[in-house]
Amino acid sequence: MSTGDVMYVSSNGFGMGHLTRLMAMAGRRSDGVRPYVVSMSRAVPLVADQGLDYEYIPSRDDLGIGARRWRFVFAERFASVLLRERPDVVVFDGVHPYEGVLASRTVLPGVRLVWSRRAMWRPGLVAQQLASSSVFDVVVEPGELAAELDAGATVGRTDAVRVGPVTLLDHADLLPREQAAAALGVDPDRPTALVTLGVGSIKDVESDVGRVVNGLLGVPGLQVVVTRPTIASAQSDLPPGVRGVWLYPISRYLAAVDLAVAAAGYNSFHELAGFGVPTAFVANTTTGVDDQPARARWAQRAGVGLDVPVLDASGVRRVVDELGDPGRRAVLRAALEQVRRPNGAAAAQAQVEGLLPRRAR
Amino acid sequence: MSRLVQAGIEAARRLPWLRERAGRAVDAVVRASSVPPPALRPGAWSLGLGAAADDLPVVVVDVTGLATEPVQALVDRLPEVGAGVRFVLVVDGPQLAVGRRAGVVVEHLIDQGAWAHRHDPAGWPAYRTERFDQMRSTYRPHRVLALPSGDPDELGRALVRAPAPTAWRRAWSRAERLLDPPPRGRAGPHARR
Repeated sequence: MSTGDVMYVSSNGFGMGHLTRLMAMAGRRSDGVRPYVVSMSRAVPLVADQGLDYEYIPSRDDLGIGARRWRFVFAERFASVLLRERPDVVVFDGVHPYEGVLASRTVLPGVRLVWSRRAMWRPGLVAQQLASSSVFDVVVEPGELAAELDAGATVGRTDAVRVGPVTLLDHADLLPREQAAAALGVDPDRPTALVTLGVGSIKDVESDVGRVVNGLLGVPGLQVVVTRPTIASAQSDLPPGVRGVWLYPISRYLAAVDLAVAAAGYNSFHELAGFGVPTAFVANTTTGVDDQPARARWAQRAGVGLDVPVLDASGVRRVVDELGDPGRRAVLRAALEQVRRPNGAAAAQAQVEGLLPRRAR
Repeated sequence: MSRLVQAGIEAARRLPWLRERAGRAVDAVVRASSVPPPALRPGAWSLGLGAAADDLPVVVVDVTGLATEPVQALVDRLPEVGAGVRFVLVVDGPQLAVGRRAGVVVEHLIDQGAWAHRHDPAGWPAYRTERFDQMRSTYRPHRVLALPSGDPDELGRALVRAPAPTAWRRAWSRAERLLDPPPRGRAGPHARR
């Protein structure tokens, strides 16, 4: 059994991918490991629900300030956290290790460093930060179902330990359909669509969310659940048949979901695909590094999901026509079963714990 | 001064050796700065001010101990009671997103209970002092206020008018903003097409 202190550090980024991967790893720690989460994500208080202590450092985006000023602010703040918490291992999940993280050993000699480095970088990016890989004791690469379409800067590198796709939950953690439906506020005997696209108001019929929800409401018998960050209104303002939910992790309730419309971020993609939900992936093309369009293309090419680059009238029609058809959904579910891979979170955590200095015999 | 800085930036972009040296020089300027960080989020209600928002004083408001509802109520009234001020709200609960939605900077303090999970409880006052020292160093605030009641009217009364920044401080802020520009806005992709 491993013992020691592990500090999990996540950058901000879109969505919650970085933080969720770290939580997936921390959730599989050995009994003697004391985790601590340091994050620039405003969602970090959620980790307290998983029994983890945390600390928030405002990201550059949260402060709105220049990169140089923020670099100094972060370095000073992170150094004080390191000196206070004195972790044995720092695990960083993000695509650009900050100077403050890279300087950890200067502040705390002997600390070991792990980079949880997601693949699938957008092709053509200048990836100078990969040069800092050698600063880390271990680079762990969370698996990618869509790896065959990865044309980014991490492809071909031999410096990473590759594990399976990392998701917060395992299949066994999902609630049974009846319980999940009750939590979502839907009828378990009717089909349910989950719309989780991020920004956009359901009341704005010109937004992607508004358009696709309106389309889905036209499918006979279909119930629509929208994750709350996508809506600006209270439940009472939602159209009949639409439920607004804010549940984390939403994947726990996927047994009650028959189809989904989602962005193609690492997290949602691997949860929805891994847990067998037929999904229309609407890639977010504004992410800095993540190649979401390639992930969505792979889903279409592998026959396990839909690639809907734009949710205009024809995109919405495709979603409704294909995912609204129970027969088509059954085909997609069967295909998803074929590509499913075991969760890589435990293997990633094992790499982290392999660096801990004290191991009980 | 702005034109001079702009000309320097253009020259540095063209020449790598100059870019590297200029980068080091800019780092030195930013390190030596004693003005609040230029472009520090001024609150959604002040966005129209642009670079002029850099002249607004920064006030750190400690609302630790409050639940999310009163923090939300305070944030809702900030445009009214705190026009002309840039706020940094200090919370110790899960209210990080509340301030962000209003474009207000939020800092988080570990509360005494969470502190005791990992450290000697006697060390918490020193931690708290260190964190406020860090905030003074980071934000160069005009004032640091404790607002345990969360009462917006009390905050309004406590906001003493700050002296206008000197011409030198204004010039420094503008120059630093040019040398170390704020991030460009990142809109979500699914809002409107």
